[in-house]
Amino acid sequence: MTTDGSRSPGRAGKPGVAAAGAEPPPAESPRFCGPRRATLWALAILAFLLTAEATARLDDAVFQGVPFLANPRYEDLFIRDALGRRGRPNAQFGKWTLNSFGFRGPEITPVPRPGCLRVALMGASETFGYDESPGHEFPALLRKKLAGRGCVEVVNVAVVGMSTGTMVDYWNNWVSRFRPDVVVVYSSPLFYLASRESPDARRAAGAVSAPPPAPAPPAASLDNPFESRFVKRMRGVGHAAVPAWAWMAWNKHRLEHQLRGVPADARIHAPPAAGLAAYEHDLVRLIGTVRSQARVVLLTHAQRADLPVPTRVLPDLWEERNWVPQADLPVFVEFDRAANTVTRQVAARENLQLIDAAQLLNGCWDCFGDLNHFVDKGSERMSDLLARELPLRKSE
Amino acid sequence: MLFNSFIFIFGFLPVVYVVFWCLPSAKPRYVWLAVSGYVFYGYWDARFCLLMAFSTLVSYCAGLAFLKYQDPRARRWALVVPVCVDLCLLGFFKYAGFALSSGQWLANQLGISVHLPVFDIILPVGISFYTFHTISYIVDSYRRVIRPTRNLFEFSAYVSLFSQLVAGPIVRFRQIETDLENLGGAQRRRWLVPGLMFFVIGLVEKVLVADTLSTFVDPAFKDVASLSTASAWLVMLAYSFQLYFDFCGYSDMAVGLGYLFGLRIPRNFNSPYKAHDPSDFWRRWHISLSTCMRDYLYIPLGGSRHGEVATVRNLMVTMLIGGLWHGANWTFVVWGAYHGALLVLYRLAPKLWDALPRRGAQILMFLLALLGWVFFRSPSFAVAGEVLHAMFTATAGALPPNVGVLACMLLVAGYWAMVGRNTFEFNDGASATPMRQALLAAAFGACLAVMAGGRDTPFIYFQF
Repeated sequence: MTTDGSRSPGRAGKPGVAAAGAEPPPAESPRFCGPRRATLWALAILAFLLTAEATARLDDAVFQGVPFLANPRYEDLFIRDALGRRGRPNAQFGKWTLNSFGFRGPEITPVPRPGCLRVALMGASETFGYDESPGHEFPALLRKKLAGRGCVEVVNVAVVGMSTGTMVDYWNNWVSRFRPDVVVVYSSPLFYLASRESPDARRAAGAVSAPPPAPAPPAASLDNPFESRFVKRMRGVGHAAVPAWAWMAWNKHRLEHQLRGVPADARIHAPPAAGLAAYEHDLVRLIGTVRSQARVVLLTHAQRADLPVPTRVLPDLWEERNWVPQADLPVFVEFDRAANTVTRQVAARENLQLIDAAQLLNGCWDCFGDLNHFVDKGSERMSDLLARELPLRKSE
Repeated sequence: MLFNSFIFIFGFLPVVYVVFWCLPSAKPRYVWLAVSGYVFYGYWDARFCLLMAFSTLVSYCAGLAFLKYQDPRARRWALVVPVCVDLCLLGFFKYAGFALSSGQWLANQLGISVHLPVFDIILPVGISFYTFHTISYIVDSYRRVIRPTRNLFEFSAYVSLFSQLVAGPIVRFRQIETDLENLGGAQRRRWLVPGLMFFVIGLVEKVLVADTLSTFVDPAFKDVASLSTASAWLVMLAYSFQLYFDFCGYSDMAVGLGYLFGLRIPRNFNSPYKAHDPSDFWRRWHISLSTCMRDYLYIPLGGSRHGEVATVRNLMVTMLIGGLWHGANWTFVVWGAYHGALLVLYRLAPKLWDALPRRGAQILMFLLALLGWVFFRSPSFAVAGEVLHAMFTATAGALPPNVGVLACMLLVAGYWAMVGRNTFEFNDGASATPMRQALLAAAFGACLAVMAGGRDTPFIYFQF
């Protein structure tokens, strides 16, 4: 117990504990003026900036293993080489860590361990993991949930920006080598929204050919080591601080300006049939390619929005419209629904198991960070669904 | 709204500061401080502003009653009723669920078939702190230590003062009333530099030290079963310093924010890990709470005036209630009992303790405090048992990841907490030299860089 016995007169002249714990008023600080003042300010700003930059780099080095002088970028997580676009082996950026085969998650053996079932999850950023906290992307959660149900290896082979069509080459050139027993496909249909080619035209254009090989950049780019990481962090804070309605207004203004010269017939007011046909074509082709080696399970695509489109998803739709400016806002949702119908029909026709993620998650506001990407709650539900529905046997 | 958030530092604080100093006199400044306090508090959950307003109004009316009635009987009613109201609010929101679950457990143990309801009550942030503010005001008014204020906004500004609203220090009205009275004549320029210094040093303690240590502590407590002996000790060392720098950082920021508005908020920590004995420790740790417990509980119970047995009882009761104040969990009660036992032992055999060399006594006291923190940090006795088991039986296992960084942090934190100067000593009467200002700017930059990395964590004492 303390023995604070100091007392001072209170308002009524009564004894009381000394005001403010007997802390004296602070001393007046010296005042500087003219050039001295300017020099002091300059020194203080310099000290501020240098320390901030050094701390940001040290923090990255300690907690993310990023070299002090490197200039890492999100794009460093991926390479494009003779095998096509895929994850860079052992890459790391922010919360994303890839294993020695360029897959997000723990190390795996080149082929499944004897007696083990290997489940590969193919998809784009929704599957790779974007808005979730580290280790909460749905493939990682599924891995944990299946841990007690025999030897099951869950491998997240998703690559950001991968359409269903490019998955064919990715499977042929890379993923098939790891001999998964089950392949779960979570396609992103919106890649096909702007497609104006018919499947025949795509075939004629040789859409099945592999992309040209490109030299791989170094693992952690050292090309511009003096790009400020403090400024980059602060930019992120600034971006997060701007309210959704302000971003929406900005996007709206920018995109409407951009669309001024676009002819009316180039605008998309309804889900384009060509896009849906292209999606179906690529999906069927992917299934045909994969099913010779593994069992295929299809997932419908889930979105934050529901139909009719609620007002509160408008900021997400405007953000999404950056990808296809000529499409009207509701089309982003309507196309997704139409593509899901295609997915269901293909699954029925090809006699494949379908897991209806859209039915479970569409319209769940706090399951998504934007229109398409899960946050922890969404990935938790998704992994629950998969853990419940996924067949855990070697062959049908 | 956290002090270590961008919205507070670059949004709330500048607006409140500029408007405050533009106001010409004390009265509008009371209003402004009260309003900003409610905005600050409502940022978490606006519903609980009503609760705080109700508690404020009850205590304010009690003060008016003390001004009106001189009859002892009436004054006693004016004391008992509002204190009971405040305690009932605290009891309902903080302890109802705990009491019911404990009752259910006891009934099950005794084989009594009873099904008590399960309450899922959200704990309003800071309720323990502002309840103490209002109760101390009522009791001091009753004792005529202070003269209650007739100005509702002055009292509201005191209760809802955002700098100490949610996690202390527990500022008694008598400690701040002089500055509140003189609020209209406060000199902005005189308070600015010390205020910023305290705020930035507090930010360094919180963001750079406590939050960095928490990255080692939190994962370890999620998986205590895998703790080896070495890692258990390292983690508990880290937690001891994390807790200190977290709460001390908050308190220093509160003092700095008080200075920015011309209010001297008392110090809450005086290098507690430099303490040489349990009594010394409690003179240095959470000073505002321990003085409140002494003045409003220990002394009214009889203090040390009625013999050794009564003193021991009073000490134990005070520390048990102090433990329970921290949280509705039996682990906090055990933590309070543990410190009560240390105080009793020290009281019974002070010479034995004082015979130790100074440095040895300091290290012993630190280790004893560290053992207490096992119960303080653990969510259950099972977890506490596992941690203690790992600490005191040779258990093999891996060291925490990034152990080199942890060791460096422990060295820095240990030196600062156990040897170096605390914030008050650092600012002791010294003016802001150019070197200090440059250091301050650098420290602020470092904190912002880490905060922008998205590792902001709430203050530990917010949960109390």
